[in-house]
Amino acid sequence: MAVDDELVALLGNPHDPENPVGYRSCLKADERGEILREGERRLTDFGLGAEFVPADMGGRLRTLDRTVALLRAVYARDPALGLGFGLTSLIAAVNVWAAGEGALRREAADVLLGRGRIASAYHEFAHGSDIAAAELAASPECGGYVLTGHKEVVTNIGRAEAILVYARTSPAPGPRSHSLFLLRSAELPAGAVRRHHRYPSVGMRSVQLGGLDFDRCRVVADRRVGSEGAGLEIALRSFQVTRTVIPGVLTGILDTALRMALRYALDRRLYGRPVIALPRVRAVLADVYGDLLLAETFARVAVRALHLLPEQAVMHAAAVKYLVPQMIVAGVNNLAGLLGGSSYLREGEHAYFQKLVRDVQPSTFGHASGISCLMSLLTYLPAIGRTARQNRPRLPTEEMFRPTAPLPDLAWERLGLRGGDVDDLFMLPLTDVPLPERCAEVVEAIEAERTSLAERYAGLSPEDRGAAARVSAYELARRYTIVLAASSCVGVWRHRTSNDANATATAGALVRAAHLLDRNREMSTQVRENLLDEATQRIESHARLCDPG
Amino acid sequence: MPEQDTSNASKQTVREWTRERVAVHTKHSPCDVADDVPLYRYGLDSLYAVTLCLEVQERFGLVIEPTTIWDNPTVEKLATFIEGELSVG
Ligand SMILES: Cc1cc2nc3c(=O)[nH]c(=O)nc-3n(C[C@H](O)[C@H](O)[C@H](O)COP(=O)(O)OP(=O)(O)OC[C@H]3O[C@@H](n4cnc5c(N)ncnc54)[C@H](O)[C@@H]3O)c2cc1C
Repeated sequence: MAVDDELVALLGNPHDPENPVGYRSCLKADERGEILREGERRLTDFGLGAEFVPADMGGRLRTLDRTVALLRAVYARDPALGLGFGLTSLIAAVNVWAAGEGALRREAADVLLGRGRIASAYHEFAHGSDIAAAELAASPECGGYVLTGHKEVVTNIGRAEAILVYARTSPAPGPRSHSLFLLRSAELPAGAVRRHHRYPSVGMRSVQLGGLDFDRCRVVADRRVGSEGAGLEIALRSFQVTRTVIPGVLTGILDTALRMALRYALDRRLYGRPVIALPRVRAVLADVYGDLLLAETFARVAVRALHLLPEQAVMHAAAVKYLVPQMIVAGVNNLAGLLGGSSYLREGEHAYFQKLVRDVQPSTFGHASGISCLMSLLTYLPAIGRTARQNRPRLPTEEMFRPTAPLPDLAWERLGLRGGDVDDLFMLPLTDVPLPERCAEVVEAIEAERTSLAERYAGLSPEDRGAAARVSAYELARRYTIVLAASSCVGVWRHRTSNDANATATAGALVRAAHLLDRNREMSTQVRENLLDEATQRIESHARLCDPG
Repeated sequence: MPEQDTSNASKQTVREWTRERVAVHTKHSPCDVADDVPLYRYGLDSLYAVTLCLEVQERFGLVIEPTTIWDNPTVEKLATFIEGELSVG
């Protein structure tokens, strides 16, 4: 049984027009810009909130592979339901767990166990991704704080039971000037807060995107999460968890889009044959399936690494949050091209596709833009490069790659900002294991790339760290993320048991990784046909496109 | 790993070394970096603290977190912290 079977059953048949949580109903809610109430009710019945609360506090959160599988299933149904009901509360809660001891832990747990939501209010228009510059002030006054300023485009801020607010507690520049607060919406003094209208958006239309103006809003000191000045530190530690979780969740969108595209290509006939018979269409479908498998594998290994190598999470999180969302958005956009006009119409058989195209777009810029992830990687690459240059490849524990191997609890206190000078995923031996047919040459190319990258990382100049890094340095960081994704596939293949990696999937994913490194590397006809056979077989037999972990 | 010279790292040496690293990262001359001015005034951001941590490790064999630099945000404070750690052994 897969982890998400029960939840998927609760959501019912997506194609049933009468199902209040089927595609048709999700689309209606989107058209009206309304919350999908029945969807939220079912997720509440399932106790999704309890999935975000650590087991020692009465919840069901033990390891994050389960959390990813559950949220992925919701995203595969409706990304707006997933963001508006699930992911947002998880992002907020993780800040509280990362902060360590304190009464607010109990309170956050009780909100989620009591079927409530928590909003996560970081964003201000004026500062975007640059959270170290956030302005909303929490000025220490009379033993408490007085909040003045704005938060904008924040999911659920107008309706969540609790709100996590990132605020400036010192006017001085530097990383010790912000703190986090957990506020109860019902206790906010009338007159001291003003709610914004719902921000209209292209996609995620049933998500409540709001804002708040604080005008000398008094908050008692007990509402502070962690110590004063710890805000940025807590954020950077908790983002390691959420940046690792989110990519695996987002693959649900590409999974659904690919299923719909395959169905379309199988059913539609042109020039006297099904569209799927056209070589160019076959190429697009096979490429995107390879991308999905690569993204999925990297995302899964990253989540396992979070538990097994938490000291390295700061690097893995940035890498996976860059590459996977980028591939997912590109994949959905490519499939839209394949569906042509059908991907553009808001009614009819394929109308759900245009909703996916709109809902997927924030993947690359929401919760840490991809480009800012590459920027933070640049800080770590010189040391990683030096170590890789001086040492032989080595194997980390095989639990990293075995989807069903038990994981240790997450060691929150070991999530540091230092990163260290080793990345075990980057150092993985690649060519000492028999690979699926047609992969050896591809993996040799990836290994050669890694060797040359290690040299170039070691030689990165100080100018290439920080926001002013050159374009060529960003490209070096991008290639790093691709090597990690390819290594994840090789690792899973090496440690496979009979049913968690098949040769077709591994070959497809690795060929696509090589293509991301070198655009001239196209998929061979053989790999393409194998992938398409696999995909169509799975579609016809109602099996999953990716085997569940 | 480069050679570690921790045996006779006098106060002056650690301090000078720290000042020089800050100067290099922020493109100042070491003479322009005052010992008691917050490092962020010179443009040393939270990411550069990661790089500085690794340099502290290479030079003194001390493993520290970037937050240690955040909490000792001047040349004077950071040098004193490093010396304290070195004297504990
Ligand atoms: C559907 C949706 C839901 C949201 N929900 C929430 C929420 O619940 N809570 C919340 O706090 N916020 C939320 N947001 C806001 C979101 O966090 C911001 O959109 C995000 O932080 C990015 O900021 P920005 O879009 O203003 O881009 P900016 O950060 O302003 O980026 C502007 C440009 O600069 C580039 N850039 C940025 N950094 C770098 C860098 N380091 N190197 C090179 N280039 C760079 C970017 O690529 C981009 O081109 C939500 C947004 C959406 C769309």
